[in-house]
Amino acid sequence: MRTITPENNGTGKPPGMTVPVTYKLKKSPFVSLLDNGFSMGYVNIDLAADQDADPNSFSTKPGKSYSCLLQDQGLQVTLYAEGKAGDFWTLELEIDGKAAPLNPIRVETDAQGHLDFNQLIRAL
Amino acid sequence: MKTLFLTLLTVLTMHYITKAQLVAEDASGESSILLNASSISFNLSEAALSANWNNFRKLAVEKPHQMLWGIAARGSNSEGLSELFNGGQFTPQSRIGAFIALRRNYQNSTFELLKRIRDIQASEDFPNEAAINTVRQLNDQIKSMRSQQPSKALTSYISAGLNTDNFRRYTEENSGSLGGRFSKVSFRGAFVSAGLNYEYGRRWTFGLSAGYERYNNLDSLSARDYKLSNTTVIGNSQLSTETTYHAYAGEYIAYNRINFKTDALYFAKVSDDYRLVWNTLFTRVYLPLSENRINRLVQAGTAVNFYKSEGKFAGGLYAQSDDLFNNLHSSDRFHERISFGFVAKYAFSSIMSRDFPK
Repeated sequence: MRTITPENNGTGKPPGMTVPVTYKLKKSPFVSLLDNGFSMGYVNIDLAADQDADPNSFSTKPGKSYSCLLQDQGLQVTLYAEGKAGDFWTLELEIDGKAAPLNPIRVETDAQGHLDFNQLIRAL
Repeated sequence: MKTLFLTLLTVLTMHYITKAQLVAEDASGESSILLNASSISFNLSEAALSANWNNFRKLAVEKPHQMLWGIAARGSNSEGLSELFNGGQFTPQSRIGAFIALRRNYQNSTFELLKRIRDIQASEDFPNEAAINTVRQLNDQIKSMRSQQPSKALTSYISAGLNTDNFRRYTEENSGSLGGRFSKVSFRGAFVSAGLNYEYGRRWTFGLSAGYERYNNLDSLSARDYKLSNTTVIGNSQLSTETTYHAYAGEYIAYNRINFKTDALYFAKVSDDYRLVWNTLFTRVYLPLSENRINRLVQAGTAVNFYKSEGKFAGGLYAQSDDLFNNLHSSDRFHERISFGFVAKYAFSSIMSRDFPK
């Protein structure tokens, strides 16, 4: 684990540390996740590589994890998606080996047909 | 046409082998395949077997432009069970088709900003305070932009295929013997159609398609089982044999026709577990070409379909006028030309559907 603070890096690095993150994302069938539209801790998630046999499920492949920036306030998670009324997606995160307290995050279609999310998620 | 047929047959046979378990699921007409085979307009009210191969899983990730393709096949017969291929032959009624589609999503600026965010996050000196602030600003920009813009997507497609009907027809003309009255008919049809689907916001999907097809009036012939008994007497011995024919009686016509179809789907959430898709108004227009014995036909209706929120079809209701303008002169009363019913499966025949899990 690498700790980065403004005091010790001297190069304008943001406060926080890099931690391994894994996820499981499930969606209802009409939901489309926008290309390049999923980031965790400022790391772009490769959706095409993470798609499971079920086309509506995405997950970090076994033995793999994303090295994400965990800030003091939490892990920045952004996801942009589109869908129809009644659609939803759910996201379960494991930050540094521990399930996030907010699991599962669930987002439903808004009035414009979007299922967008951009928030800091606290780790245990 | 022969080359196309052989190509489709080869591709499908390969698929049939690799996905045999998929094909076997459908003896009771229960399969997720039927929904995304909707562009090929199968009749879903009868038991059938179908196989389907497409790249709909790519739709889970939306891009500015996407190419979609698929192959679907279906076999059925009046006994309710069938095999698509039986000793290398098509079964009595079967249909095989392919489509290719181009999908365009109209969130161009969002896609561009997301690409910029990806590039910043992938750069070597990332993460740094300045870059993270830029990413934050870009995300804010996307948020304010998207709050003004409903999602919009247009899919244009072309589908084409072949269908067959092999059956016996009963005629009283030109037959020297009773057995000769049962003639074999092999109908080979073909269809091609083009369509557009437009998705707007969270509520609506509109579909329209126009097509040309070689068709026959098998649906309107009456099917019966005939038993033909033969008795041969030699001396004081008598030998009896019996042959059963399942045959269709009536005037048989093969003809060309043009079809137009429209659908307007409205999506709503019913509860956390259920959602509905209401086909507010669907229309089907069939115009026979240079065939006076077949009437023009206009059908219209409405259908409400319920789905479990994870996508499984839960049932539906429909009301349809099978002959809106009484072209068939079946009844002068409008209400008598309306049919109602429950549906176990429903295809939106001018809409390209997403992949529904079983």
